[in-house]
Amino acid sequence: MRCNHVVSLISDYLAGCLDRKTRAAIEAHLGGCPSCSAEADATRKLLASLASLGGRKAPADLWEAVHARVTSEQRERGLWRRWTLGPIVAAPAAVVAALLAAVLLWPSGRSAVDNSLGREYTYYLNSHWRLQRQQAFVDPDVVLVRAELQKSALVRDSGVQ
Amino acid sequence: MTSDSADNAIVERVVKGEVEAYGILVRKYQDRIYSAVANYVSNPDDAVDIAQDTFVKAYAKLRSFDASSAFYTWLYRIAVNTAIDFLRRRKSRPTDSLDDEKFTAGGFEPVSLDPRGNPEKVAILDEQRRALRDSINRLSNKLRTVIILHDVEGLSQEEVAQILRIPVGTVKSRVSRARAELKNLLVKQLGEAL
Amino acid sequence: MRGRVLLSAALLGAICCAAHAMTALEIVRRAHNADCHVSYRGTKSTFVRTGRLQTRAIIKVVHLAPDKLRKEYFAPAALAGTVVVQNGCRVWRHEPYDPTWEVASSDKYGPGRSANCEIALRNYDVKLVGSGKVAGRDAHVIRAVHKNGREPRRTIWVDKQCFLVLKTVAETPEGVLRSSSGFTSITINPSDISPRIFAVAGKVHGFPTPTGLDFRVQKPSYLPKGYKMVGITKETACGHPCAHLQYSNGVNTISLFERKYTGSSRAPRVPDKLVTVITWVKDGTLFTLVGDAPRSELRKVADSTK
Repeated sequence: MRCNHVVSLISDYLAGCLDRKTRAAIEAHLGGCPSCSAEADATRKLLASLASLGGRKAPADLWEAVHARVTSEQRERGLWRRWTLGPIVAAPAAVVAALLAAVLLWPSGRSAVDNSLGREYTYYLNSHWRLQRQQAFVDPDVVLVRAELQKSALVRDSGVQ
Repeated sequence: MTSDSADNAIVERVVKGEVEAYGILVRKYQDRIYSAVANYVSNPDDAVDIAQDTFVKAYAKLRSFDASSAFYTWLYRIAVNTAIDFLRRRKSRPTDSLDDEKFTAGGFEPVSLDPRGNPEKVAILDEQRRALRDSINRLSNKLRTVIILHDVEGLSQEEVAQILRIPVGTVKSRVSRARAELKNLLVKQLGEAL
Repeated sequence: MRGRVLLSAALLGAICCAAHAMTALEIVRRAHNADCHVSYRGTKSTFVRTGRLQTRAIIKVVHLAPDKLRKEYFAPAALAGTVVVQNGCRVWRHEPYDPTWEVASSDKYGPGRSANCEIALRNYDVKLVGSGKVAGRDAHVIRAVHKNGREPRRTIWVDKQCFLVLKTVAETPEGVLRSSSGFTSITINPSDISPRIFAVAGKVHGFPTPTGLDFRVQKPSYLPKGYKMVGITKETACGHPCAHLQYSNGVNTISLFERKYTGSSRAPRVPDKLVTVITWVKDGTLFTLVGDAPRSELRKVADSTK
């Protein structure tokens, strides 16, 4: 088997997608070809590293946040639907304007504020840790490093007791 | 009942007005969606925002889900598009927080408390992981998406093809190109392959 | 006769213990303000463990008395390249790959620091346990144990000549190491520290000044034992003017943030595995309570906030 053909099949070989005959031929080639063997090794390591990046866990309260947003949007749509799809009744202009204003100004659950609450909580944690650094018997570098540790743990949220 | 038909049954209930049933789908897929979109951004808060947006958008579009594909591939498609839109919007506004993307690239891996453990080796692994995330971020959206879905999240080529609505052959060639590019980028960053 | 000798020995022991206790307090008070009088340059190694995560940081430090400080972080990877400069109560922070400096404020050299020390000395038993050496310098070893016995105990090494704190160790009451931070090398009062290294050049962006609070600030009527309010500041969190109520027992702190909120009545929960955070919405105000105290104690603080 030629090297360029083996290299083109390495991904399928590592994924176990090749028939027995082709697999055996590749293994025989790899046994005697240092450069193809190195290529296979590099690909194997890359795939293992990529796989290790996955499997993160979502925050436990994701559904709560989604629920709050979808029910709020439903409320808004309900109001609008009742106004636009209900029987069209001649109404005084003032009533029409007031209802429109109520719909447009209704506080939205799906606000940009809610979306940025994660960043806001990060601000609060930082502000709290700045206060912590000023206390007695406390090394400010310990506080700063612990803060970074906690922030990065919030990222992975896995393997932490 | 297969997983797909179970999902479809829940979708029907939600479309009929049972909002709480949507929670079943969210809880079932939240880890997978969050894990996938977290590979597009470094800041965990952004990943949570994108995951939330994905499920909210999917809820709004549930009436248009026609079960011609599996629910989860349809959901992944929304997640990928939402993540890419997020990155596109972010490019057009300045960073406004000290905490954006700075501290989540690693450096704090869970360490074995085994006193025979090798802190140097851990530091090297951590550096490699940071370089890998960095390199993934440098890929084009097309290559980054296939690598995330296929090699990071472990979806098959067929599943990735369904999600992205491209032929399986195209998925295969993009994966191959993405891996080659990652290897080059890593050699430049680390001076060696992994 | 024998009784009198024993009584004298006991009295002498008590006097010596009393002298040591006073000496320990005096050492701690002098150490708390030592950097107002002592300049130094050195390298620190800081080890931190939180849950199952741990890391070690390497930091180069230059301090010019009374209130200028520069720190450069070399490890771990996530902090490498970070530079922190402090000049009085202003702090600037610069990250690698970011050409701007972020400004914050700190009371490290402000009037509050002595108050924190006194609060700590009321809540902690402080003893001189011996002598030691750090970075080649002789040091008093002081142990501080919280009077309730439930908080981490602290050991500090204080330079015998200049009373600078050379090393700090925190351990759980069971003796498990939580953090250890100390100098690996240090030069006291070097003559060649240039004030220019504490100057910040280039683009600086800081927190916008809050314009005022348009809501009633509510205070908790319950605080865990030993805590007292040490300040209220107005801050701006992601564009929202907020109040930051600050409580301390001298060593640990509790922060209560409050701001006007028009979102859902259910405040989203923030992951709180490694630091306790409680959030709630009441009467159009979002409350965020952060602290190292047990959750049950923070819950009481939250419930008492009116």
